[in-house]
Amino acid sequence: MRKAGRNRRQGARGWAESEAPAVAVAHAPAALRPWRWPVMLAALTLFGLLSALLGQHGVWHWLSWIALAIPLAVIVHFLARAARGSQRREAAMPLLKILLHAVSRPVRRKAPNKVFMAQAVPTPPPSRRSAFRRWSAAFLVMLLIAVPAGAFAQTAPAMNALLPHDLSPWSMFLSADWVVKLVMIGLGFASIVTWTVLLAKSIELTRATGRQRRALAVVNAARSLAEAARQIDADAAAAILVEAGASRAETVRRRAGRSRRAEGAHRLAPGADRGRHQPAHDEGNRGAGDHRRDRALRRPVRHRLGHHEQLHRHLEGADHQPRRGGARASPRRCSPPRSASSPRSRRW
Amino acid sequence: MIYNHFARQIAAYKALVADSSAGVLRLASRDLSRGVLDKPEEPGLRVVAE
Repeated sequence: MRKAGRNRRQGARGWAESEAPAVAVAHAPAALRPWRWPVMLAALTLFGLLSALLGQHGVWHWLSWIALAIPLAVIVHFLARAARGSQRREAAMPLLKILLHAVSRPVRRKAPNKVFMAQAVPTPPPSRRSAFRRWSAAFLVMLLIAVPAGAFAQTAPAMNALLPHDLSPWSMFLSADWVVKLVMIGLGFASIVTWTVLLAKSIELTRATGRQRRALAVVNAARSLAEAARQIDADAAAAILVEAGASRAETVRRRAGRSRRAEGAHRLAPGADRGRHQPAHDEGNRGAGDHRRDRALRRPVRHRLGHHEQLHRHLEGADHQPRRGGARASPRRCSPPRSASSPRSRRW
Repeated sequence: MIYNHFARQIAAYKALVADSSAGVLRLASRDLSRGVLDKPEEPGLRVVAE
């Protein structure tokens, strides 16, 4: 029986959300609807606190107890429901309805044919009931806050005698209980830590991002790796990338030359796509695998490219370590394990 | 809030690094297929697109 009722209600709501946007917009508290309950609970809490602080008689204390207990009860209720799982969602509704019946009732959706009519009319006027409900809710909130304040205004002279005279922050801190003091100290410490982290990390990240952006511009504008390496900041992360790319290219080029000499195959790992388009040209340049002429060609080039030579020497020195220095540009693309003990690679 | 802010900023930074690493890869592949490492500074040798 209960299940059937829930199903009916859910079905009705699903229909209302999917097919009646015009009505919901026309009523126009749609943006405020999620905040209705938080605002009511906040008003209730405020009322309870004010009446506890300002009330003099037993009535106010009882009212504050009730008003502060209701949000707690709501919290406990929803926590328990969350712990139980969201299956019995409808169980929350009776409690909420008991709390504040005037605003808790969901806006009744209209029947389909009426919705059709409402869409035909450009701006259907909001019904008087919903307007009344909204105004009554606002009035209730105001009342909840105003009543303890009014009570305080009545008893203000008596209250002034009761209040401590020195209300500066430090004296308040000194006169607080040790638990409160502990909490305040903890909060202050957390605040300092948070602000430090925020400022320091913001500065660090901003600078790193700016550097990286400049490096990206350089890399995008450069026409070759050597040019990029010349123009880039030394401390950007992209500089490491460029160096790694250069060393990677060097290795690949060497390996490509070796394998081409060995079997006439064509292997250009990172630039394979471009290399595949121009195989004849490369082969022609390379002189049909003549090893000696290859080296003769390569010698003076090396001297002109000082940067690469240094990089290369560095690489050769680091060849025997398990991990080579510098981040690899693309660990996935460099497929074959390079032969670190190859005599030719160690010669230069 | 602060965590969210930093998470977004770090994500942006990561994207930047990824972009520049892609640029470096592109440069490397271009250099390799062009043979720049073997014969640099020969402007008329081969004109690569872009």
